[in-house]
Amino acid sequence: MHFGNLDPAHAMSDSNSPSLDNLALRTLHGLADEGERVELARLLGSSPESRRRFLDHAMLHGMLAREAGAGAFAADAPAFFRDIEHPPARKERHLLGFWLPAAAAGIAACVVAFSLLPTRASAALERVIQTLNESHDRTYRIEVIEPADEEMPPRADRGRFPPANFLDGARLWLRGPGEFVLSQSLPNGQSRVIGSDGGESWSLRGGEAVRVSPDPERFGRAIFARSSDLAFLDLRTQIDDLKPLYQIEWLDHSSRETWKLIASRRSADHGGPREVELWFHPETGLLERMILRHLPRGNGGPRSIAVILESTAPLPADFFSHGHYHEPGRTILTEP
Amino acid sequence: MESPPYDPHLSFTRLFVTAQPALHGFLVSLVHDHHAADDLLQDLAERMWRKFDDYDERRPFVAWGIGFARLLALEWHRRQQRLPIPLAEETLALLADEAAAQAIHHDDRLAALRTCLKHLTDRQRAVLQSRYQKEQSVDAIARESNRTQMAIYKMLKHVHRTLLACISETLTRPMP
Repeated sequence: MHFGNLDPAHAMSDSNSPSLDNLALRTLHGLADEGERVELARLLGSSPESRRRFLDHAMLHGMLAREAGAGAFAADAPAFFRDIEHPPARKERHLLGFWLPAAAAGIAACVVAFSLLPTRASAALERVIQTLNESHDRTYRIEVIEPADEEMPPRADRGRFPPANFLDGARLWLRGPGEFVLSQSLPNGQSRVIGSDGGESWSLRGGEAVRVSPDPERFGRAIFARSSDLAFLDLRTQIDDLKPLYQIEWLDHSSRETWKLIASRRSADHGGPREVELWFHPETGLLERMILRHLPRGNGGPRSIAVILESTAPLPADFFSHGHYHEPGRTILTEP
Repeated sequence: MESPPYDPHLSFTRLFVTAQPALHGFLVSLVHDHHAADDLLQDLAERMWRKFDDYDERRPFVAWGIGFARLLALEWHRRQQRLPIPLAEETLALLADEAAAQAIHHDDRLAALRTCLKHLTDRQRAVLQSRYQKEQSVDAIARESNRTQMAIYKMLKHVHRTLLACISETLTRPMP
């Protein structure tokens, strides 16, 4: 089965080592226990054929992840392959337009709330949804209320500065659907900016090369959910999927200034924050504060955060494009 | 007509973008997590750019990059408190040798994979979409689809084996 070797004489049958196949795949899919991982390490040290077979699985795993990011399994996969074989002169943005950024994650929780409220409240919340979907500039500040558990060390496999671990003091700017910018300060004095203009996403750190992806949620994905148990990807089309997950109650709607809702996750079997608190203006529906409590531990970030509205001042037209954040000559690495 | 002046940024970017899938594949093979490989790829680009003056363009760019990638993967392993696979350093070195040899054929494999993906059933495509595009865990897919974790794992295993067989067949098929 070793597909790196182009000589058919070296091709093997899967059935020769089902045990290695299982150990490799269970490890790559995060299912292997300690004993299985130790056994896999032993097998890899024992024969070149085991190593080649394992590499076949590992490389396929990596290629599938990259192809998925590029849209190979999307609803319009045939168009994806047509584009590869016969590239259009200019990539149509609308092909990927149904993906919204993961960095607007918490806002998705609002949608959960809105769709579950009693009639009168849901009417008010519909107004908030409408406001969220309008193309207005908003600046939010992120504060960590409760940091990551001490016994949970930052995930080393997320690189030196995992995005989820540096949210305190970060700023999030939103415009229309799919448009976001998140700016973080890193311990080494650099800043990292992740964003999307709704068509492509990008990331840059300090004076390094700009990384650009045609996947609008590619770089925001690292912030909130690796396994999108509570799907933060598309606010409009995933509402139905999210509805059953949260119980919505009024926290306070006596004030003329701010109304507050609380959304509690119905079951621990589902991912996402255990509790989401939403503060919004009763007349305009403008989201003023969102508190996400008991975020999933597996992501390595804080347990609870608040996203606080700072400003609704208009931002420059090109604010959601990476060109706004670097000099013209900066190296740009575009992912396929 | 004069040729445009040499632009090292542009030259490096073109080479790196072309080599990126193979280098990513190499890194995934050694760190076994594509998110970790994504992070390392960024560090790799930075290191290669710093040394780009030393690059001999008669040498394949991928092969040059693999030298850096190998070092980065080794450093990554040393930093981990808990490895996905507890490999001894000598085993890691052997794995890196084999992965480097395979990386040369990465573009052929990717082209074969794209052909093979077209033959998947809707159900197979759906499970890959959940696992790789939505990045759901096997557990989460099982919950969402009201199936057992084992049933989803078996589906994924079947798709993997189908694709590996198809890629192998595609690559070994005689040219028309």
